[in-house]
Formats: sequence, structure tokens, C-alpha cells
Amino acid sequence: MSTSEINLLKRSGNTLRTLTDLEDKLRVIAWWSLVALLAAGIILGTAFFYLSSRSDQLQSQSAQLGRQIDAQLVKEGILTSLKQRADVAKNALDAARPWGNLFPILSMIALPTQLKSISIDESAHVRLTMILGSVDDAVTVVTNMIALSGQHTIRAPQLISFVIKADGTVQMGVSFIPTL
Amino acid sequence: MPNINTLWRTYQNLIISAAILLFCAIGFITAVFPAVEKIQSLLSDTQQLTDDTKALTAKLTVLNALDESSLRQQLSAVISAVPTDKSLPTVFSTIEGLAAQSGVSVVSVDIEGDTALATASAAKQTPEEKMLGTRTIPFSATIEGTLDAIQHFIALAPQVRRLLRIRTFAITFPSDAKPVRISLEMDAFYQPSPTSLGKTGAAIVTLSDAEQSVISKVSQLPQVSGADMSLPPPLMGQMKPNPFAP
Repeated sequence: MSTSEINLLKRSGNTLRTLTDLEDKLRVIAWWSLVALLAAGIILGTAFFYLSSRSDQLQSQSAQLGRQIDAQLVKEGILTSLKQRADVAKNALDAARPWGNLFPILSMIALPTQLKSISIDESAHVRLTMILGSVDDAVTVVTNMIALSGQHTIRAPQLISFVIKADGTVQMGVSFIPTL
Repeated sequence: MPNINTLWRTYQNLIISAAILLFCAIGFITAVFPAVEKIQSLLSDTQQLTDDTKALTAKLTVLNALDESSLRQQLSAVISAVPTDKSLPTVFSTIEGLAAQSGVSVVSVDIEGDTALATASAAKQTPEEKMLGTRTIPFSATIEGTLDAIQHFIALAPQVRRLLRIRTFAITFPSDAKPVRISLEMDAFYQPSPTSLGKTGAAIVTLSDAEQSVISKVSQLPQVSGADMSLPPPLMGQMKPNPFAP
């Protein structure tokens, strides 16, 4: 039998080598792709199951903690109310001026018997009206106020009114801001 | 048909490899990439849950460390200083208590402002109240006594429970032997309680040192009114699920 009668595929030599190389490379790539797909599937599957169970565990823990916190709602309410009220009390305490400290300052300015009226306004200005026996007493009062101003015990001293009456007595009005 | 068989025999290995590659490509596109996205989302959710659990644990630790009875005691002391409502009887009783302790006599006490409202919910805050951060009840009082007694009254007024503030006063010294008379304009303070809390997961903080100091200071102030300032019933924790239900 001649070789021409045998059912052989007739190829050129170069084409055969190219095709064989291509087949080999493609086979390697395909098997490695398959391995990569299987590995990715295993890794991702493991990660998914782990994260799912962790998420379920955390949700359960979170729900339990929420229930425990809800059971202490009254305590939380008392604490919230206490914090808010403490701030309010602090504001109220800071707003109150210690006017009791004014009277020792007044005693350094004039005698109680010389005082006719004392008033304070909302801007903490003190206004004194005094009936003094003589101009010398008035000078003494002014001197005392100047000294107290120098010591920063009072600020912004002002002479409001000064009236010498026929009998020599002096009605004097002063104002100042005390440092309480 | 013979052509197909010929083709199959010629390119069998190529076709199988290509089919495997195609299968892997489809697998990556339809399964792997969506799975990666899903896992990223799951990871993000898990991280958020972890953070939430930590916050809840911290909050529960704070709550467990608090003693409810001592909190109630502190709140009772602070409420007696700044009540939850106007509590006008305690204003009067505090002025009377102050007068009794200082030895002056009360000539009159007049409550100013809008006293017709039953609750503070409809009352608007004045600019000064907004600045103070608390609601006030302005009132005026006229007191008589010796100058020493009046001094004592003025010194004692800001240092009692219930908290009071003297805004202005005017003392008139009579020329004869009549007692000294003082007219005062004062404020008492009150603040309605909060009616809602934050969410379960909202963080809470224990009392700071400054707050503890204020509470301690208020607790040490003498109570001259003699009125019972028991805690109001808790509003929080007993909210109706349906506010329109009878």
C-alpha cells in the first residue's frame, strides 16, 4: 500500500508546530484557570460562611445588649435628667450675686446711721443716699470711696447729688459698682 | 458531517481547552466577582455591627456601674433646688423660711409674669432665660426688720434650696424708730424635665467632676422651705407605643 492511500492528514511542517504550541499553551492556561476558579470558590465560600455566622452572632449579641439597656431605661432617664438639671443649677448659682458681701463695703463708706436709702439695679450699680452731719463728713465719705476704688473694692464711683441744707447737713447721693 | 469530524479530530485539544477557558470566564463573571462584592458588603456590615456592639457594651458598663438609689437621691436634691415646674408654694415657703431664719417679717410677696399657664409647655423663654439656660419666676417681696436682720436675709437668700436670685433691691431707712423696709425683686428657677431619651445605642456619659461638684454644692444648701420635694413619677421608660391610645 502506498502512503498516498493512507488516510493521513497532510499538513505543512510549520503549521503543525504552531498549532501544537498553541494547543499546549491553551491547555496549560485552561487548567490553571480551572484551578483558580475552584480555589476562588473555596476561599470565597469559606469567607462568606465565616462572615455570615459572625454577623449572626453580632446581631444576636447586639439584640441582647439592647434588651439589657432597655431594662435600665429608668436609670438612664434619671442620669439624663440629673446631668441636665446640674447644668441648670450651675447656671442659677452663677447668676446669683452674693449681695450679702455688699454691707461690709457699705460700712467702710459710711455709718449705718448716715444711710437714708440703698438701692441696686440689674446692672449691679449701687446707689446710696446719705444724710451727713457736715461737709467734713461728706469729704470723709468721698475719701473712703476713693480709697476703696484704689483697692479695687469698688469700681466706677460717682457723685450723683450733693445738697447742703440750711442747717449745714449734707444730703449726698453716690453710686458705684461693688466687687463682690 | 465529515468536515465536522475532521475539524474535531484536528482541533480537539484546542476546542476542549477553549471550552474550559470559556467555562472559567463565565464562572468568574457570574459567580466570583458578585461573591467578592457580597463579601465586601458583608465585611462592612460586620464591622458596623462590631462598632455598634462595642458602643452598646460601653453604655451597659456605664449603666451597670451606676447606683440608682444614689442617683435618685442626687436628683431629689437638685430638683428641690430647681424644680421641674413653677412650684409656687415652695417659693412662698422658702421666703417665709428665710424670713424666719433671719428674723425679718414678710410684708408681701407678689409673683410677676404669666402665672395663668398650668404648665411651662406653652410659655416662651425670654431672652434672659435663654441666656441663663433656665426658666425663671420673677417675683417681688417686701421685708421689714432691723438692718442686721435684713443683711442676714440678703446673705442667706442665694444660699438655700430652692435657688433664688436677687435682681434688685431698695432699702429705705426711716427717720423714726420704724423698722427698716426693703423691697426686693427676685427670681426663682425651674426647668421642666426632658421627656425623651436618645436611641438605645446613643452613648451616655457619667457625671463629670464639674457636675458632681454642683450637685454636691446644691445638696449641702439648707432647705428652709420645709416642703416635700419628692421625685416626680418617671416619664421615660413608660411611653405609650400609641400616643393616641386612651
